Amino acid sequence: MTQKLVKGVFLQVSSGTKGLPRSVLFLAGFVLIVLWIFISVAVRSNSGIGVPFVTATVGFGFAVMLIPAVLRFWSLKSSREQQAAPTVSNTQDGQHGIVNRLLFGSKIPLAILTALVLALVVQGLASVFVPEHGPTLPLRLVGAGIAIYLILTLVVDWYPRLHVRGSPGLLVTVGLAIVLSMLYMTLASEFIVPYDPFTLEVGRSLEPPSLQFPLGTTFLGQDLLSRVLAGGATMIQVAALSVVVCFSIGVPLGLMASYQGGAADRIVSLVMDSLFAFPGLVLAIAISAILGPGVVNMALAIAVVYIPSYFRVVRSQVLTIKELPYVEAAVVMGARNREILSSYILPNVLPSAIVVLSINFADAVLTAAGLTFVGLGLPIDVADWGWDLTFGWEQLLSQKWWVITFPGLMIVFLALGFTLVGEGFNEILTPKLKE
Amino acid sequence: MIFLLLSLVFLILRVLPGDPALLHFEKNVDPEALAIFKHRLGLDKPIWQQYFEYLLGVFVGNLGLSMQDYQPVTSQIMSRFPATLELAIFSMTFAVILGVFLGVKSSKNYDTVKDNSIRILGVVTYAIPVFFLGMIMQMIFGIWLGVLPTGGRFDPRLDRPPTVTGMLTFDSILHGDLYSFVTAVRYLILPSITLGTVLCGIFIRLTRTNMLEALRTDFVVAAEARGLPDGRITYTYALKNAFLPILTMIGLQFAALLAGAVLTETTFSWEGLGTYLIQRINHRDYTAIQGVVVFFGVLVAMVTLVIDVVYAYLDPRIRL
Repeated sequence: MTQKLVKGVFLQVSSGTKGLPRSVLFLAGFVLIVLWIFISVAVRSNSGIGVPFVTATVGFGFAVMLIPAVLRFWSLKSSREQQAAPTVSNTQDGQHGIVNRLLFGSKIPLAILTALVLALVVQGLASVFVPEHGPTLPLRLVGAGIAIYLILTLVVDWYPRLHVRGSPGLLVTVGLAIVLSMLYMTLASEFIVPYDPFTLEVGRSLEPPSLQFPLGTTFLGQDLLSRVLAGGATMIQVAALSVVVCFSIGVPLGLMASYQGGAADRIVSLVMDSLFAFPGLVLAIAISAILGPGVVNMALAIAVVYIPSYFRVVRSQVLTIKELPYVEAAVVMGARNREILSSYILPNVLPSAIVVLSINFADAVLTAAGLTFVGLGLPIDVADWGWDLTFGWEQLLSQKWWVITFPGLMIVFLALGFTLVGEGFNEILTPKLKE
Repeated sequence: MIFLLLSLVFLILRVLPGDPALLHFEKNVDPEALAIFKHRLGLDKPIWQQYFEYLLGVFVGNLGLSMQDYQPVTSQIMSRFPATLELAIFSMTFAVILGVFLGVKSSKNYDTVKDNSIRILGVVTYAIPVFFLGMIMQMIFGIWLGVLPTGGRFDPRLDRPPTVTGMLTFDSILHGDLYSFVTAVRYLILPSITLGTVLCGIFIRLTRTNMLEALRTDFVVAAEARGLPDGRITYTYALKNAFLPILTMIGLQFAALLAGAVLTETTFSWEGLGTYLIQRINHRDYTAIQGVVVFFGVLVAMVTLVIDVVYAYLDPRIRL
């Protein structure tokens, strides 16, 4: 069963690709690797890092590049083998099919993964190599390379596909573009920042935006642009962690509770409903006041608040799905409960859980910012938009508008990106107002 | 449900690892002093006894003593609550009026530039942290234009109207003091617009969806066929029918409203429950924190109940 599912997903991945995007992807990857070699050579001459390390990195880059080709090969084989055998993803028609195609039928997940891995490797390399005074030119080039790669993939591979579907597709594209560029910015921040975001007094205190400091400087004389570029890391970490926790508790809980039914369902639903009705931020504030500051604690405080939103959506979906004939058929054929839940029900619930997930991401970002604002956030020594905003607020009376505007806008953009993705998916899922 | 909620709060704040009394003192404390402290607050009893006392206390309106000043938390909360209520009423009114207005406009111009820009506005308002919007408002209206105060509830140079409800605007009306009323409203405008704007997105969307359906119904078409004026059809015929879900949403959004109020109050130094909560967090006053959380929870549950009743009254198809 699992093997079939995996094959099905791969089939979708490769059947959704066409000649042009693949070659662009390949080309971009190639350019990246060439860049990489250049950098390695350049860097190696400065420091005593060994050849094996560089080779391994380049080899890894190649491996990543080859993933689409491998997938393609495998799917060709498997599609020849089981032409008629329906895969799990194929058996669901209608609305879910579209989302499935959006999620699996393109190289975007792959592109994200690749870019993430590349960026992380670059980041790791940089922490070893980058001299104190700032990034070197080749490293910035890598940053630019990743950006171009991402944007190319997005535009070439995704836009035509989504554009056909009208405004929801556009929403998803714009949202993803925002989110991805934020992600890129954060991951590659070490190489694209003009100054070190932590160095005090790179300029005078509270200098207005100028050519030297495009977004001005903070009260402590730090370069605001650098801080804005680097400041997303903690917020994204907190949000991602809390979303993962929420998702991995809320979804299984919803699945099991509503599939089981009975008293268990009622009790869990009651608890979830009372949590849901509560002012989330207040609870998050109270919890993190108890737990204390820190990325993990903050994420946990946020997670507790948002579990019910997954639970409710999943539960209501399962209630309808478990009555469908194909589930009944599975029961009749003697499938075990675990199998039914994971292979028959979960794939149909997943799309709406994804919608909740992306909206939830926005909520988590906003809640994290709110927690930081009331002083329950992270340690002060990190670059964080929430902190910059909170400290900048003290400069409000002296009309230093830039210290609050830019960090604040970054939070808005990040939350907006996730909201747009969620909105888009949501509209694709519930196309009732189409006509 | 309230009972469950109370238990949850107790569970999270008291039972989970971390002794609130120890946390209150942050660092090492003389065990004797700690024991006295715990005894004064009743924290030395077994946990189940604390739990029942806590439950019983909530029902008679006793939320315990503050760790900070040993005053009853209930009276402190009640002295702060009117300010929050005032802010909540004005923000919600603003949110509903703006949201419904824009939503109607949006649905009337379905799938045009106007419609789409209103929808985008709705999404954007959802993504703005309320305190950031507050800061921008303070900056523009309070500092650059200098037309509105940036924080506080009332002009410190003036005497406040005598307390009846605790809400300054209503008090000054009851007192017949027009000048105080205008002052109070001036202090209220920025916070409520800020909070209202952040909340209005959901109303825009809801109004739009419901109006799109209402505008397609037969009776609207019939009214159009009879040549009734456009505004009358939209607002009297269609909106009246689209309004019920909006009413429900007001109840549902009340929790979000309170959460937003905490941040808005902090931004505008509004002396309500939100600032109280934040102050107490800074003093590590866990009994007060728990009190506020419980109060908010009960409040939301009550509002939900009231909205349900009103709903049943307005829509005769629903029976309680």
